[in-house]
Amino acid sequence: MKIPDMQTAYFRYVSPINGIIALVLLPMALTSFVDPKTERTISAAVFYIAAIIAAGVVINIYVGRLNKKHEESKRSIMADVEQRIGAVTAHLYDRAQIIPVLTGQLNEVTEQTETAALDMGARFMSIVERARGQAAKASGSFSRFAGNGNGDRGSVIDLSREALSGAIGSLGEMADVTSRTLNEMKIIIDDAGNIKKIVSDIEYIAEQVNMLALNAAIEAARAGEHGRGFSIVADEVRKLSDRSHSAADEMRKLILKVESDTKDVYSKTEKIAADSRSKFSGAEAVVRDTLKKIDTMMNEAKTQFDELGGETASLARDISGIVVSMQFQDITRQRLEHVIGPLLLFKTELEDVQQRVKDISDKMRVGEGYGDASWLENMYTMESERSLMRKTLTKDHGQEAVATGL
Amino acid sequence: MAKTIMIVDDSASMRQLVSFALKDAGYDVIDAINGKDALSKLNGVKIEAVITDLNMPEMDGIEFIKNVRSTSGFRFTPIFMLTTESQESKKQEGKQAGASGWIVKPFKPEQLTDLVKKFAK
Repeated sequence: MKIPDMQTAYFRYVSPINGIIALVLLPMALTSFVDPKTERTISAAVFYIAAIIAAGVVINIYVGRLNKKHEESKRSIMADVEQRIGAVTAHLYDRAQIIPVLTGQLNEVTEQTETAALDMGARFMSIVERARGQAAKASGSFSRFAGNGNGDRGSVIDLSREALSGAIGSLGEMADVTSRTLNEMKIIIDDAGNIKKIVSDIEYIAEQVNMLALNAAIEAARAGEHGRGFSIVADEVRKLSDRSHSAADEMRKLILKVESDTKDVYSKTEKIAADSRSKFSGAEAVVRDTLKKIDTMMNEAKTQFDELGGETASLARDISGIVVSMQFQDITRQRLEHVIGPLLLFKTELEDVQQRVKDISDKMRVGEGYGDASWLENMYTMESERSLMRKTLTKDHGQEAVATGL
Repeated sequence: MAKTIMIVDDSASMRQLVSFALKDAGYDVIDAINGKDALSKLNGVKIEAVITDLNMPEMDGIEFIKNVRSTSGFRFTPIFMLTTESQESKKQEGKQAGASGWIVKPFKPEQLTDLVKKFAK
């Protein structure tokens, strides 16, 4: 609310009273010259006029002092107001300057988290790819070692199983051959016994022939000259008998040696066969047990590899989930942008407010405490009042008053 | 031969993770940093679907979709909006511009790949 100063109050209230008094007394003074009787009246009028002028002077002096005091008070208040406005604008300016710092901090945080998110994403992806690669490599190695489970042959385990089975088969075949050999040798031994019987028969025949030859020789001697030819035949028969007996004897010895040697070989072979059968049985059991263990281990390994593959896939899914969770970085970035934007807008508004306050302060300073004096100019009804106001403001503030359009 | 999907987003981390999800599902990916960049990469490329952000510098998602729809060969290409915006008015704006679908962040990879599989036949 604008408060009229003391000078304004004087012009508004005191000057019109002086004018009214002058309008009443002036006719009275003029009539005193027409009527001499009114000399006392004129004297009184002069006295009144002098008194009124004196009162006016006193009032003017009083109003001037009041006005001066009021101006000093107003200047003091304006100075205080100006100081407070200055403090406010300085505060607004300080706060406005902080906002770019805050937005700069937020932008840097956004950039840093973006960079960190990118790096984390790349690392997680690398982990997933490496885990999958390792699982695939391990699965390939296992397939080459243990087979792919599709019946395709060629794995190390398949080849080992075949080799072991082949070795066991060969051992079995060897045992069969040995058994058949023993049977053949048994037949030879039995044949040797039969041959010995035949040799005994040959010896018996040779002895009988020898007896016949001896008897024939006796009978030939008894016949004398007539029996000489028969004696020669009997002698030849006896010689044949001796040779038969000798051959049979040789044959017996030979058969006995063959029989002895064959029995010796049979005995040794039988021992080897028994040993081989024992070892074969043991080896077969060991191989079967080994193959069974290998199968068990392979099944366990396959189960573990399947679990590893499952774990790897699960790990990949989890990491994919983590990577996708990082989209919160983008959401956070956008929310920060939604903070930065209004903050910058707020800065602009603060600066605008600061400028407006400064403008008001400048205008008040231009009026030297009168502020926007248009209200006073509007209030004046006389050109002299307005002229005086302009003269005063122009004299005191020169170009500033002109610049504000006053 | 793998199908190609275009991802348009000004956030490098978003491009990265969407690419990761799509590549994991067996797709090839072309990425662009905004609508203008994406338009320059459309020429001579067979793209099965486009996934675009909404708020981007230089050319936003809505403007980009309008441009794509007026580009020969891309009138019926599936375009999905991928953004944090969930306002119905924005969805309608995207739909009117020519968007085929809408995915709100945060999303699960299955949501993205299922949607792409459904449309990008």
